[in-house]
Amino acid sequence: MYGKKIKKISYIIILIYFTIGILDLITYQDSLGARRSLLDGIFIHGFNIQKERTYTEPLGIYKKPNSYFESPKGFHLLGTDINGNDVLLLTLKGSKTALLLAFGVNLIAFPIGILLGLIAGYFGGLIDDIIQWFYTTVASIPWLLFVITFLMIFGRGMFWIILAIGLTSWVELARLIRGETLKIRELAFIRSAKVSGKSTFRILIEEILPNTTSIIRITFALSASQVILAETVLTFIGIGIEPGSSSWGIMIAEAQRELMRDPPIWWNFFSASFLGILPLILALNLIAEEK
Amino acid sequence: MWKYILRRILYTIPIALGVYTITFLLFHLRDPIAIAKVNLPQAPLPVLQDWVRANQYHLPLFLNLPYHAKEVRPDGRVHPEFAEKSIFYSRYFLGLYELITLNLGKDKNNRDILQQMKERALPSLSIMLPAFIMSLFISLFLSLFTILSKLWIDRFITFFAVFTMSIALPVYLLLAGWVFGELIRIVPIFGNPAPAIIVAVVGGIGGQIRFYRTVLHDQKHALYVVAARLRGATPWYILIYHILRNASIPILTTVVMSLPFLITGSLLLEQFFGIPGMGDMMYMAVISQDFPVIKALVYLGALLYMLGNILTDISYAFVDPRIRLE
Repeated sequence: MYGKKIKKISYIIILIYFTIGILDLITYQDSLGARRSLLDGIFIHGFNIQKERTYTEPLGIYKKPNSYFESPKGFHLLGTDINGNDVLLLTLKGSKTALLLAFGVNLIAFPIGILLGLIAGYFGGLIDDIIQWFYTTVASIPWLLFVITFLMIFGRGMFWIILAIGLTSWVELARLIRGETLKIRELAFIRSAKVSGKSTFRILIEEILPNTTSIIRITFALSASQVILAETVLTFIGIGIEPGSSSWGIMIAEAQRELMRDPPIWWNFFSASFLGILPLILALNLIAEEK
Repeated sequence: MWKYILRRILYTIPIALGVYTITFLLFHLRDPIAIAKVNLPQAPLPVLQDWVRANQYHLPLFLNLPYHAKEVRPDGRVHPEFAEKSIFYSRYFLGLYELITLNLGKDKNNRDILQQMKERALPSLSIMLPAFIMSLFISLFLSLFTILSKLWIDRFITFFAVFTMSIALPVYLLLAGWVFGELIRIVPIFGNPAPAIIVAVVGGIGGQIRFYRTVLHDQKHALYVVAARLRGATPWYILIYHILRNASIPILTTVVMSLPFLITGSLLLEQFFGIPGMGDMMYMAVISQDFPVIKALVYLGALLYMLGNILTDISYAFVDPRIRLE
């Protein structure tokens, strides 16, 4: 559908988010003994970003006449939030949470989905029936409710969100891999591998798995985008990521109150949803376009 | 035909049992006191033990074996009365029995959950049904349109679809709140179905357009389309009588599959716009940590999914006679 150009741009966007996320994951001890990430360091030392007292307007350098907001100590491209933190920095820090969620969930879901899909498709028969029964069962449980219940039973926070979503989101992958394996196992090169005496495990891993990479790539992109969107929903309900850490979901959930103020605090919401989430999810979805 | 339907229904019994077992494990695998602690963070032990007893977490897990009557249960008491009960006096089988007899229990405020669900299905339906019909027609029309249109229009519509899919639902809600609360102040936002329907349509249309477009474009170069064109059929005639009919199975799947879910509504939409439907019930249960309600909603969702599966298969048999013979 889309040219190679758009796909290339999407990959570059994702790479940028990935780099920012990694920069925020690496931490060091600064001269005052506080732990900072590399990203904080770049902002504090490179751009001289200071903490304000509370909200300041985007691009606010001096106090405008009749303005409700104070003049900031430093320059903030996108203003500051209620605690005086730079919104641009917060938005960039959100990509760390997105990175952890996307990779964490897929790290749990992919081995389960790939393994069950390969086994069901290759062996067929009773094993196939059992695995199909299993994933139909998991698919029947309402997804959002399962995650909510899981979080209520086991506790809140990032780790449990990743586990809950990871344990439920392998179904689609298993289904797709099973279908593909069913097709591939009839092909000549599988028969030749069998005749040459390769073990079943090696046929699955070395012959069939490499032929499902496009499915895996597409599923990875789609499930990453779903997880990042799900985090905003869960946080909006109030059972997602806990306040205090930085995520786009928290910024959007807080915007619920901020947008009702007079004057409305729109920049927090704007940068989280349109500068943080939108480009990343758009890029992930465009990669997942098949043709 | 009836045989086919009956077999389809029998096939869902193991799945239903599987759903019940997984849900049961989710609710019961963890130490009861720990679950109580998650829900009553700073409560002292006796309060936690009362919570455990109130939620029946002190009963045996799978089977009521003789030693259960002698030991101290998680609620801090010995229950000699277990010895008089049958071996199936356990959380697993009691729960299963209650589910089969549709005894979903009472919620925190001592209201009947089944009654609540009946009352709340209609408000959810009043939002989801118009939204469903509108988005079905708009997305079918647009995706049929992309087949006839020029390449750049096709690309534009597809990009629009992907774009709307890339915006999180809370963002749509807050934008709707701003648009209908600040810009256009014709209707009140709270408790009014109109804004909720619009958000549901805009938020759900992207995925549908993209799916229908892919399905329809697969048929575009089929030989029967070429033949019809050679006979001089008009483009819209080919679209509706040839392409749409041949692509009807995947489209039917998504349509029939989403029918049962029209009554469960959407949690965020109903909470944000103050509509007293099933989604709002779910939200209130999450906020007040009402376990029986959540459990009942999980079962309801699973039941509707299985119902959707059966309906889909039956509709296949109606559309495609080959399936009936299998």
